Amino acid sequence: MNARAIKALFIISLSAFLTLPVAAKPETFKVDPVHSMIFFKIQHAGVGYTYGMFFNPEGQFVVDQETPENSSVTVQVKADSVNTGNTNRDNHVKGPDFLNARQFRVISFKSTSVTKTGEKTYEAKGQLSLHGVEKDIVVALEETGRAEIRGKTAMGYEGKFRIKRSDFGMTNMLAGVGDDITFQVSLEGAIQ
Amino acid sequence: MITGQEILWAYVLPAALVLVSCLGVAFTPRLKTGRWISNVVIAVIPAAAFALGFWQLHGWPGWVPADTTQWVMHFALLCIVIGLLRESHWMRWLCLMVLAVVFPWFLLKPIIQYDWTTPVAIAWITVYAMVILLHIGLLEHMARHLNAFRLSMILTMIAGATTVVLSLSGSLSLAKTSGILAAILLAAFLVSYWLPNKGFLLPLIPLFVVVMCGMWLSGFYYAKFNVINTILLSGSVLLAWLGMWIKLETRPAWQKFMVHACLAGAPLALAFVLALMQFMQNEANSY
Repeated sequence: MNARAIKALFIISLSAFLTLPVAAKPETFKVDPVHSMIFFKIQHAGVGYTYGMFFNPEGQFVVDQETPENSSVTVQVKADSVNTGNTNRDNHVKGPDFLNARQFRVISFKSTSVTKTGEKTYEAKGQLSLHGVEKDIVVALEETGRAEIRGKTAMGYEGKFRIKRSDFGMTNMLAGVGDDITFQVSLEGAIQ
Repeated sequence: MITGQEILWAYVLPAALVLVSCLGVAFTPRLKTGRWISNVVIAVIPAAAFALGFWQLHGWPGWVPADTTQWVMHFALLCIVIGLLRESHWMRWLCLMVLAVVFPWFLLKPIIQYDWTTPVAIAWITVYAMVILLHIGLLEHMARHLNAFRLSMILTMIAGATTVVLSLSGSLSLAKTSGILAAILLAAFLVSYWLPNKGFLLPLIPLFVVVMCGMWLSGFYYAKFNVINTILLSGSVLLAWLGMWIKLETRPAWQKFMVHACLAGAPLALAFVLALMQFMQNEANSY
């Protein structure tokens, strides 16, 4: 074998080594409060739905593409950031009849397990802390996108879940304001 | 929004309990007012009736309730012990002093934790403890010197006005709680027609002060109860006490009664008008 052949073999071996699949590291993303939204809807008097929003959620999510079970998500938002488009209603919702936001200032979710359910869908089980009560809930998650923003990798997920407010001790005015609250959470985070 | 079930179990039943037990005191010679057993009835039944009403409205709050406004029920039950300590003057005031400090401390724990520095918290808790003790002192003085009919009318007016103002100020849950006391006091007012004896309502005073101060503080710190309404409602106790000193010996009893009612009722009426005006303003932006 001449020197030229050895050199060719070395280059082929090296390129073969470089193209081997490398186990992706879990990536940690910090929730971007400006581009993340928490919406909810609740039925009014058994008629139409009233929509509201919590502003500036914070937290982080860890994405492990190879082993989704190692992924996690933690989100918290201030209860008094609630906005339903009507100041009087917002004040009422923040008061003792509903959120009691001066007592229970933070609403948070911390996942305990993440399971992959489809190509870009996941199921996150975890604890929702709301109105001083902690309960296990299941959030259906969908990966909504991945891109480079200002030189940093950003990822987006959308989560949906439904709770009964009476399970969290909010039992006032159940005849007029629905018990079921449906949440839709859009999280965008930049890699840490 | 109050359901028929809530009215029945949280208001009618507690009021009926107080009515029947107090009538029992009024018409049973062995249970005549002033005796130890009558003190037991007046101390135990209203506080237990309040707890029953509270349980029906909000469920039974666990020990260390998640919602600090629910401490009012535990302290209402503690008032049974204080009501029973009528004979032991020093022990009673010691218990009242502990209650006066611990109650606002527990009620305002989130505010102490998040909003106040330690010196500010100590200052405010001291102020509220003194206000609670002052209210108890003034009302007990009135209970000893006024007939029960006049006193129970004033107490019912204050609890009723607090209930209405709270409901107009955007907290139905606090208004409902306050309404239980108003219903109980209305029953005591009816009974006092047959049992107007001075001192009859003495064991009820700590319960009244705990629930009312609990509602005023919770309304102010956790709901949108404005400072003027809080001062007017709590100030009505002071005005009612001052009303005792107006010399009207030559006037008929009904005129004395009306003057006293008007004096105690003036700040309550003003608080109601202010709350109503605010409510009407908000109606333009109703939801």
